[in-house]
Amino acid sequence: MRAGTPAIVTGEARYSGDCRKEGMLFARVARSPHSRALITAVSASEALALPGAAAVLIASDIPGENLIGMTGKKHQPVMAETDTRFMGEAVAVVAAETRAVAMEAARSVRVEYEPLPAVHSVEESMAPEAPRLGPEGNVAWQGRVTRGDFERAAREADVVLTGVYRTPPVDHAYIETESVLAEPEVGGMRVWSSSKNVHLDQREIARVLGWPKERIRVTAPTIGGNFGGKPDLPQLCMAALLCERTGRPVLLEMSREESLQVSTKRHPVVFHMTHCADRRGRLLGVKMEAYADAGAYLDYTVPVMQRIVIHGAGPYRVENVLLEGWGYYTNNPLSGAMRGFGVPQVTFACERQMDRLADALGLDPIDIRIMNALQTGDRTATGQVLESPVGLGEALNKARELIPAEEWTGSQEDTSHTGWGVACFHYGNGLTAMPNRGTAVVRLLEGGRIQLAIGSPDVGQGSNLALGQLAAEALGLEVSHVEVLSADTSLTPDSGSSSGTRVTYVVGNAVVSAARSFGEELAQRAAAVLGTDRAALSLELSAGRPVLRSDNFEFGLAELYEELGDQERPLEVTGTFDPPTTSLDPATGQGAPYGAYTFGVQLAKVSVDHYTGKVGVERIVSLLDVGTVVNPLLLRGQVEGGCAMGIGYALLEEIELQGGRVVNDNFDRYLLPTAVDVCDVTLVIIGAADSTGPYGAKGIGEPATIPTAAAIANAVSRAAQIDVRQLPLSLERVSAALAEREEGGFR
Amino acid sequence: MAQKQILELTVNGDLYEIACEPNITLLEALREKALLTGTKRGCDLGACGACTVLLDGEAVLACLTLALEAQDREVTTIEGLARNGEMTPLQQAFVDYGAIQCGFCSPGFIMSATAMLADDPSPSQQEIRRRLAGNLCRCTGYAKILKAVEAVVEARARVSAPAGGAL
Repeated sequence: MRAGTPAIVTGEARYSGDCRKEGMLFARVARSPHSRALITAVSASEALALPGAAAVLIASDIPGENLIGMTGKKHQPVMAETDTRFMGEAVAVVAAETRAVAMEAARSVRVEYEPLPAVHSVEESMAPEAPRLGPEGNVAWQGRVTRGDFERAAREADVVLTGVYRTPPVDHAYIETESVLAEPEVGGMRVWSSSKNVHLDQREIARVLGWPKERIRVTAPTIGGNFGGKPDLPQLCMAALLCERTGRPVLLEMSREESLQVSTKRHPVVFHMTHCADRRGRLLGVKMEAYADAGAYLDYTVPVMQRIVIHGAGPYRVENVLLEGWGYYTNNPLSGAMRGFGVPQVTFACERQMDRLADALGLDPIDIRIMNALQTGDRTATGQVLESPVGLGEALNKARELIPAEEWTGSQEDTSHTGWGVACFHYGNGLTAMPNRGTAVVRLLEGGRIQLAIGSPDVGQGSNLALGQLAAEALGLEVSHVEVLSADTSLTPDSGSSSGTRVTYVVGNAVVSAARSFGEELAQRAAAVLGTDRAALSLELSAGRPVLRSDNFEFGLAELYEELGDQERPLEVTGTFDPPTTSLDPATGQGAPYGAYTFGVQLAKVSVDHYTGKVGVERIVSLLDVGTVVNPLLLRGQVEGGCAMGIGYALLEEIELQGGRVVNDNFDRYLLPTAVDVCDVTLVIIGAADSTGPYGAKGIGEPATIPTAAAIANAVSRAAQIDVRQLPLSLERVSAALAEREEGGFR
Repeated sequence: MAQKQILELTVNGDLYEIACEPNITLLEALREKALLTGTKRGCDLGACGACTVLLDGEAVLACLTLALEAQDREVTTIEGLARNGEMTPLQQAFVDYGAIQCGFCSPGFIMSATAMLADDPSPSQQEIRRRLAGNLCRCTGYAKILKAVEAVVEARARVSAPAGGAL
């Protein structure tokens, strides 16, 4: 369930690619066929001469800045001017009367390139002879979290276990490809963008056009999936540039092939892990070196790598940590934000280490986790004291009860092996170690309607409904009395992005604050109008209608609205919330990066075919500490969807790059889980209300997918008695490991 | 470029006269000419199922079907399911069971399931999974979609069971 569902099932809902405007032009991007090349000449004349071609723009046509970014870094050009740095990078954009002409015109833009040696992996980027890709060399980002004395812990430990783990680049693979419509409006421009942050879109377009941002109105229509991936900023800005140039509406859509080639990917990471423990299994120290492919420009690598080092020891109590990360420039498509912001990757590495440690010590995998699980009052790797209740230990105990020991062991037969695996995680809600204020506005409109306005878009997860519920709760009304409006820069406040698992926790707190103040404001205004005592009035439902009631009368909200002066309409109250975070010490990474953490445990049961290497996921149990549950149906939807995405990450998905080209650039070769690949998910809610969340709620969007691949990897390792170090667990990889095991090559 | 011609398409009972090149797909004809944008383009390759429509009651992928092939046949799209504002049981079940997140794949799923149920009113759970495996969803993990379809199957079984359940 989400707000607006009937329009979706009748086909009436409009996504950005569904909008049709009078005089609309179709746009198409001319893209670089080289991963790295100098641009020596560009000629648009042939393209412009085509009948039906309306405009061709290149970098030098950009009136404002040709630098954009989703984060504070503004490093990537809208269109490459002097050199291209990844295959498919935009070099020119055309607009034409029809799609066919636009395609032909894009092909007719003549660009002369001088190809340069390109870099396609972290290892190549590190090499001393590697070409220099970034402004200060090939390291795009480096950082660390350190506490205690890891070296001493390693000397004193009974067991020191090392391991190298690799995760692949994968795509968000929203079923709606990126699509933008820009149309002229009196005095400016209206842009329709399937974005997770319309206010950021507005600022970026404004800088590129050289316009004041007030001239640009960005609205998100119905969004066909996001998972951290939309907007594609170059595309967004190119549509706006063409609209400004032609004075006509412009639709710029991506094909699936374009989307898979040029959109951002989940960071591929190589982890070198070292875990130190005493012989009982108590963790004494964790060391991590994480090397990530940043892609061609620096943007989301900063917050993703921050997350990786912060979450690098897993949800465990460890006194001595040395967690380091590096992002390297390459000439691959950019790595970006994707559901989990690096934490699915680090959870795979950490949780494989925990299982291997348990095996080395002859311990049960759940026991070793219970022994080390973070508890209320403990310090995290960044030294943050967990003051709110931590439900991780309870979740682990519950997990043990749910799966009987004899079933846990699984079975190893000639043709098929089965077994269970476990993985734990924690995840900081909100942006990392920076102010990230959420803002909400509640308005009284004509007819006594109550409107909740928030900037953060509903990207399909149902945030409009969940936030409407929080507002209704704070007002003492039903959710049907609150109209929710989101993601319109003219009508809604800047609430920040729908990302980082921040909407329920951060924006939700702002909503509750705004709604409470709004209720108070209504009562005060009504008291003034009626000449009565404020204390005598309360907002209540009367015959299904919100009214201000005293002992002897009711005053409707429509009547109150009529009594307001013109200057006072609409009556509007703003609420804000900024999570209690600190910046991190640059040398040690110590500090309090998040206001709240979601915790969880996931169990996965798998079967492994001995001959084909095919892994089937038979059942998943997800035990979550999300604080108070706002909407059980939406929560379940997130968990089921997150598990499916995790199954894809574990078993199927990998962007295959050959010289920077995405080889599997459509869904016939980039395989997503289908209805026959998923399994039943049992959801168990654990834990108590969070002390800082709205009514005690914490977020679930990203946590839903974080532990799944790790739990499956542990289950496959246990069931097939192999040692999984790399995702995905493709048929080839699993059958090769099984063959190696047969030959006695088991590590 | 091929010469334009006039194509007559019957979509949801309405006749559309479409001037187009003879090589356009049914998906283009529906979305760009008939302006019925409820049918979605996800891959243009027949791999995602988002463009599923009914051709004489059978599910086809509009991106792999030439508009010409649909001449003199009945095309049904997601816009044509509800009658007089009343949704079909499948549409209603998708809403009631929360089978929708972003909703971009929903029209394709509903059309596939509609064709399946016309074909076989009582498919097993496994059969439902198999028949819907050509439609991709990235949000829901399929569980609530399967539940919604199963609920419609069960409701029909109850209605069509003989009184007293004597079987």
